[in-house]
Amino acid sequence: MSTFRILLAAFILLFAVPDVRWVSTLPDGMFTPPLGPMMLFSGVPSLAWTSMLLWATYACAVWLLWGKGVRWSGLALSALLALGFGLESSFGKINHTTPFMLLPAVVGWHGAWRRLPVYYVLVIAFQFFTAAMPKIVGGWLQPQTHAAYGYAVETLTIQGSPALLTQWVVSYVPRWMWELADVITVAFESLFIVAMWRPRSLATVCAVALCFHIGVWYTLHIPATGYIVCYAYIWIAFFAPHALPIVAPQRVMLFVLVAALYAGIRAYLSPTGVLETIGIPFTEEIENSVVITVGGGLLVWLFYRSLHSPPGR
Amino acid sequence: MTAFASIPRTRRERLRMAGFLFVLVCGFACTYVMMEPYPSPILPGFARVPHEQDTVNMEEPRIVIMQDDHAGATISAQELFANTDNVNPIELLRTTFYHGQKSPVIAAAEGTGLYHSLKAFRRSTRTWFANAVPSIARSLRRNGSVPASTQRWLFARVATLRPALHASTVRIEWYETDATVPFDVVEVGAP
Repeated sequence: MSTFRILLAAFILLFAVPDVRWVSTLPDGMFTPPLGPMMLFSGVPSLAWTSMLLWATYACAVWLLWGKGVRWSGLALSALLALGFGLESSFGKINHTTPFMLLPAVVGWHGAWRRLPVYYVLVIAFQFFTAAMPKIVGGWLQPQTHAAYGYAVETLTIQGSPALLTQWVVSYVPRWMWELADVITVAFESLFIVAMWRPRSLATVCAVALCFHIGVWYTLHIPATGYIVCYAYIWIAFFAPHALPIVAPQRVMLFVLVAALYAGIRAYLSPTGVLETIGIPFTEEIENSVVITVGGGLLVWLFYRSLHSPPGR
Repeated sequence: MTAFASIPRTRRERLRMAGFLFVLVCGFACTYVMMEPYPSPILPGFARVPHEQDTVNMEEPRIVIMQDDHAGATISAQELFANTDNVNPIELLRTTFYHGQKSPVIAAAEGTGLYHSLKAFRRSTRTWFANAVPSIARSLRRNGSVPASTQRWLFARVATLRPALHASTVRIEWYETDATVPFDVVEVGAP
């Protein structure tokens, strides 16, 4: 698990620290925090505050990567991620990142509490359950509705940010396949919580979930980059606790340096578009595509392999 | 030893897990009864069904910059919120510049009877909570009223995006699919 902890911290450092400085550019009038601790903010925090939050999150990610006091660094990083994502979610729409922001704390406390992975999977399974219920009530299963098709058309026309395959699927996929997609989505989302209690069914449902996330990214343009890492944790915790080799401290040092360098470039150059203007396509789009496709694909294969040699109960 | 070995077998462990599940269910119930808390183990339901019987019902916003009572130019939500990250510009626009009443066509087309009943129930409990706890009212603002700070920000942003225009009013118009008349308009006058 220590190697996974290093990989997780590096991933957060490179891709997932929420750069919430843009929040400070919006007026107080737009600040509509959701029910919960974000309501303690009376308005939009200042730029100095959000910059401090950004650098504190980077520092905690490096602390977790370093490996000293992982329980506390994991907890601190989870709290800071929750704060960052919470600020992003205080303008009308909540980004659903709970399993990802819990992950540093879960990984930090993994060694101290053996049952933690089960509770963690239960959170993800319950999340899917909460997604399935509104769909059933909303009419996804009615044959005359093709909800996924409707969202694909909306992505193409209104949202203004179609995914790689949105145009193609809207034009060529027949209606009966859209209905099938609706039914499969509802079925898999409702069954996750039932399937999580057996090794084979957990591996199957995780592989299906990964395929679902890849499909959703390339058709509806909804990134589930953080969730890919959550499934990686599930795979290691449940199916291959000793799969990753132990990394020597010198290599960790190298990791820290490379990750910090990349994170610095990303934080300072990418938002200003400097890299884009000199012809380097350095965008979140590419990062998301690589993580979701390569990471997701690899994990589908690993879960599939686990089906043939699942651990005994 | 894998984590499967730790799936609850003792009564105490089962109770603990049932308690944990109860907490999760409470969060979900809160979402359905009033509004989604943060943080919470919820995924977006996408309950609205935008497509039915060969029609895709959508709400499309248009931001129109008015110059002395005639339309000068339009800007997109993506342009207006170009400096944001990890948020949906349309949702941001909907939260800030919207009266909260969906288009009649979409409201009639979407969902089952149970869906409508739940929505109505949720709306009434939200209003009750907002009246009972004033701090919640801020999280529920979708009545089209635009605070002064938002008004100033909007005109500053328009001036940055379209420096040649002298905006007198900014109209945020919401259209149904293929409609020519907006079903909802929020007008913001110059500060």
